[in-house]
Amino acid sequence: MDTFERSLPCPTSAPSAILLGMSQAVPQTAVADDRLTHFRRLREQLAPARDPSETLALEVYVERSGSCARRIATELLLAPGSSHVLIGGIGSGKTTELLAVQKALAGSPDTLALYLDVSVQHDIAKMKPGVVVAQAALAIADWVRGIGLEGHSNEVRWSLARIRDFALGYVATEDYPEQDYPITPGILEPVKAAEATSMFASRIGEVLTSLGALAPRFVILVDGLDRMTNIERFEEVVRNDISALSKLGLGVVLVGPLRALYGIDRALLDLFDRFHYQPWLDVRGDAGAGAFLRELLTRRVPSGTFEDSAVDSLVASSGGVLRDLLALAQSACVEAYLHGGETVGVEHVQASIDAFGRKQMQGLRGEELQILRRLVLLGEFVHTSEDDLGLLMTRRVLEYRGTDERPRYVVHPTIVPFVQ
Amino acid sequence: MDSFLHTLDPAEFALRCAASEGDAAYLLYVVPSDQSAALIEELRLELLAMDVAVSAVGPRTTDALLRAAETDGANALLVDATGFDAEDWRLLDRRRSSLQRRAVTVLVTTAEHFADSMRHAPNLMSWLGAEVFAFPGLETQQGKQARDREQRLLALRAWSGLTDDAILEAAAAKTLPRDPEYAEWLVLLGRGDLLDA
Amino acid sequence: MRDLSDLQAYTLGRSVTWSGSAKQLLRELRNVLRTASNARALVTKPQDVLTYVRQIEPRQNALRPQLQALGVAHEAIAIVGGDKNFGRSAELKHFRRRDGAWFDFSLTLRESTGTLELLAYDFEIRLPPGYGAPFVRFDLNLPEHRNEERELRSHAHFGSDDLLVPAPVMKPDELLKLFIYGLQKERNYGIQRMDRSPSDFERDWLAETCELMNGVRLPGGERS
Repeated sequence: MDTFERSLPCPTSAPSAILLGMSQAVPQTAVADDRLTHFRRLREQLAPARDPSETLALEVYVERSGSCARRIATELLLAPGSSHVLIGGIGSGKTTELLAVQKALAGSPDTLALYLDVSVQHDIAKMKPGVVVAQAALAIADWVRGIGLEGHSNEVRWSLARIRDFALGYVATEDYPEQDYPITPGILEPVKAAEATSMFASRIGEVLTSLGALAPRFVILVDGLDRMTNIERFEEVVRNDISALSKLGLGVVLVGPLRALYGIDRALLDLFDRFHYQPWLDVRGDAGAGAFLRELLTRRVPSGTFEDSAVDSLVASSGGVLRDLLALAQSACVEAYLHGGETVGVEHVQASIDAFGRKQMQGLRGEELQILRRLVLLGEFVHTSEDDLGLLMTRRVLEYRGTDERPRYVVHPTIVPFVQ
Repeated sequence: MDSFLHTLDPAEFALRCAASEGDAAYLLYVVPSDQSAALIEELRLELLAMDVAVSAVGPRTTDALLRAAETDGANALLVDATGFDAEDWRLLDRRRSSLQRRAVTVLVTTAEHFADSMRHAPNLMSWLGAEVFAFPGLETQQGKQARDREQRLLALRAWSGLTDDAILEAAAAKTLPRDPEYAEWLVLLGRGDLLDA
Repeated sequence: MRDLSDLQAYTLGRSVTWSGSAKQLLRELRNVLRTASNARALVTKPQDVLTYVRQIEPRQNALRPQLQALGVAHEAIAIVGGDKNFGRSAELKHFRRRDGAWFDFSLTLRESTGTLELLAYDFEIRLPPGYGAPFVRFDLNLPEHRNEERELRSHAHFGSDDLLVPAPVMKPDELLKLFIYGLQKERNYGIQRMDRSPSDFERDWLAETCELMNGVRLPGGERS
C-alpha cells in the first residue's frame, strides 16, 4: 500500500476484504430490496387461500357491481329475521361476500352478524340436523360472555351452561363419532335431532328474552355447507335448523352447495326467503367484469408490478374465477422471481397459465374430455349427467349468467389449448 | 398438445416452495410411489439448505396432517400424501378450513392419487393454483446428466486435441499434466482412481 | 520451479479437507450464488443458478465395480458451475455480475464417508474493459508426481495463461464470494479517490499487445 492508503481511516470491512478489493461486505441478512423478499411480499398480497377476513381487513376488497353482500345486508336491515342462501362456484368469492355482509352490518347500531364456519368444528360428512343451531347457540353464548353479560341473570347463566353441555354432547366429534350423547352425569342416552334442535332453540330464546334490549338483532352467517355433497342431508339441515333459527327471529345467511342450483335440487332454494347467486364473471361478455377484475388485482400490489399486457392476460385466462385470477397472478410472481424479472411480464403469466391448465387437465376421464371438446368445438353443454355436473364443480366448465339469467357455458380458458 | 405436468427436480421444486415462504401457499409434487420417501427427504434437505424451517408429516394419515396443520409452527410442512385415497381427499376438502395456515404446505403424492384429489377435493385443489409439478423420473434425469457429461468431454477433447484413451494412457504412465482440466476429464470418464496415479 | 518449496508449502498450508458431502457442498454453492442473485449482485437468474451449478455424473465403466470392491474406486466427484469454456465465449452458460464481469468454475473432489477432499479446481472470471486484466483465474492443480517438477500447485493467472503467481488454496465458497463481491473496480473508503490516469508505460504496453494479437497467430489453440 502506498502512503496515501496507509493514512486512510480504518474501514468497517475486514482488513482481508480491503486487500482483496472487496467493495461491499458479503451480505449477512436480506436487504430491503432483496428480490426474494420483494416477490414473497407480492405473493402474500395476492394470496387466494388466505383467510378472507384478512382481505377485508387489508381494505383490498373490491365490491362487484350488483354485489351480493350489499343486497343481502340491505335486505337484512329491512327484514332482520329473513333467511338467505348464497350459492356460487368454487373460487367465486362466497366467503368473502359473507364477511362483507358482516362488515356492512357492523355499521348498524342494533344488528350483529356472527360468522360460523360449520366445517371447522364438525365433519360435515357426518352432518345432521341440529348442528347448525348448536353452533349458532355457541356463537351467541360466546358473544354474551365476551361482553360480560353472562351474569346478567340466573336464566342467562343457566342457559349458557346448558348450551355448552348440550353442544359438547351433541356435536359429533372424534370422541363421540356416531352417537348423540348429551352430557348428563352418570347417564348416557341418545337424543333425536328434533329434540336437540328444540333444546338449543329454547336456550337461545331464553337468553335473548332475558337480555331484552341489551341483545342485538342477531344474523347468523353460516359457511362451510357448500362442501356438503349429500343433498338430502343438506335439505334436512335447512328444514330443521334454518327454520328453527328463523322462528327465533334470527337472520340467516347460508352458503349452499352448487349442486343445489341444478335439477330437482333447485326446489331447496324455495326454503329460503331469498336466493342469491354469486356467479363467475363473464370477462368476454361483460366489459365491467374485466374492469372489476383488473382493479381487484392491481389494488393488491404496488403500481407497475404487472405489465399491462400481463394483467390483460391474467384477467382473460382466469375465466372470471376470482380465486384462479389471484392464483395465476401468484404463480406469475414466482416465475418472474425465478427468471430474473423485476416486473411481472406476459411471459411469466403465460408460464403460469400453462402450468395451471396442465393441472386442471389431470384426472379427466375420456367421457369428460369428450364433453369438453364438444363445448369448445360446438359450444354445446347441457348438464344432464353427473359427469357434466362434476365438470362444473371442478371448474373445468364455467357457467355465466347474463342479465337475462340465461346460462352460458365455456371451458376454462387455461385448458382450452389442451382440449382442442 | 400433451397435457402432462411440467417436471422439476427436487431442488427446482424446493426453490418454488422457498419463493412462496411467508404466506398461505399450497404446492403439490407428483412422484413415483417407490421413490416417495427418498424424494420427500431430498425436498426436506433442499428446503433446509435454503433456510426454510421445514417439518415433514407422515406417514399418510389425514389425522396427522390436520393435527400438524393446527400445531406445527414450521414455515413449510411437507406432507406424505402418497397413501391418501378418495375418501381421504374428500375429508380434507371438507375440513380444508383447518388446513389454512400462514405458511407453505407441500403435498407429495402419486399420479393416481393426485387424479383422485382433483375429483374429490376440488376446493382444496383450487388453492394449489398453478403450483403442481412432477418429478422428472430417473431415466430422464440420467439422460440429462449423460448429455451434460458428454458435452463437457467434447469441450475437453476439442481444447486439448487428445482422445479419452490418450488421457487414460498418460494417467496410467504418470505423464498426465496436472492441470485441473485433466482431473475433471478423468472423473468424467469414471476413472477417479487414476487421479492419484 | 527452483527453490520455491517453502512458498509451495505455505500456499498449500490450509486444509483441503472438511466434513460434509458433495450434495451439501452443491447446495452451499447454489446458496451463495442465489443469495447474490437475490441481492442483485449477480444478474444471473435464480433458476439458472440452480441449473448451472451441478454435479456431473461420471461414466459407468466396466472397471468400476471391481474398483469399488477393492476399495480403490475413490469416489471422485466433479461439481461445475456453467459450461466448459476454453474459448471465453459469453455465449456459453456462466454467471454474470451486475458490472458485466462473468465467471464459471469447475472442481473435483473426493468424497469419503462424511468427508470431502479438494483435489483440483479452476475458477475463472472475465472482467470488463478497464479493469486491468481481461481475466483472472485461480487454479488448483493435482499434486505433481515428482518433487523436482513441482510447479506451484495453487496459483492464479492475471490476464495471461502463461504467467502464474502463487495463491493460497481456497474453499469453493470463498472463491465464489471473491468473484461476486471482490475484484471490483471501485474502492470506497468514504473518501473521494482520485482517478489515476494510465501511465505512458501502460498505454504503450496495451497498444503493442494489440498489435501482437492482431498480427500474430498464437500457437496451440485459443488458450496460449
